Amino acid sequence: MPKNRAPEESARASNEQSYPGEDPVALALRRLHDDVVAEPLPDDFLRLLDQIERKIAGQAVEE
Amino acid sequence: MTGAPDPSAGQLDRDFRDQLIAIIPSLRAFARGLCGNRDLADDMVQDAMTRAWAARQSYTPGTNFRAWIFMILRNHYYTTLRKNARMVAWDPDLAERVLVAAPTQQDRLNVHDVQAALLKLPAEQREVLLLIGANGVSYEEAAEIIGCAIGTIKSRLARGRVALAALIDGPPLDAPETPGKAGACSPALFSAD
Repeated sequence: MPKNRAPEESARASNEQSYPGEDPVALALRRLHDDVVAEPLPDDFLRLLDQIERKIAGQAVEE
Repeated sequence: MTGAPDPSAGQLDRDFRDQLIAIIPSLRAFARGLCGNRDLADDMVQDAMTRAWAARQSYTPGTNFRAWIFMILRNHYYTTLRKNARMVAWDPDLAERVLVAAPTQQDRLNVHDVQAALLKLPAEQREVLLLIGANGVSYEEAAEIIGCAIGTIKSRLARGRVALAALIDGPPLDAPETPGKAGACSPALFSAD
């Protein structure tokens, strides 16, 4: 069981030690990327993909 | 006639669509990193996807799809940037305020601080840091996307890393100068801890 510690204040310092040798800037760049990748796809994109889907379906009819 | 099945145009389109769907998250991350604004980035990605779809005949199946479409997105970003000099998202100070207002979480380095610092870098360094450091593309692929030599990619990456680290770790710009010799570089870059 971990000893109690101030959760917020100590988080930054302790996290910096959790990847020894890892460049914090490189880590942050990857987090920047991973955070966006983990987001659900906005509806705008789904609508765009629907349009593409309809175009493919339309071509299939012509073939 | 028998022989190797010739993929129909419809099948090629469906394959293209599948690749397009798979690459969306990476495109969004790259665009967001470039401009620092979620809505603007998503608009750019959708434009790039529309352009890519319209130009799908110029993509050779089996070649590097990511490099091909990242190139389209990157070109679109720079065209947009040139056309719209008043685009506020590229004002680093404003971008910083917008980003600070976004929800935060406990990080080793706050991702919003990194994004704000990225926006202060020259675009040529920012894009290399994002492609290689964030998206994880190789030097070779980055060189293909940007259209320059691998050596150029490496030097931009090196300079970008130093500049980014200085922006994040260095003293604030308005911090009083230490009396004595004026150092050209932030001492924080060379500290052992």
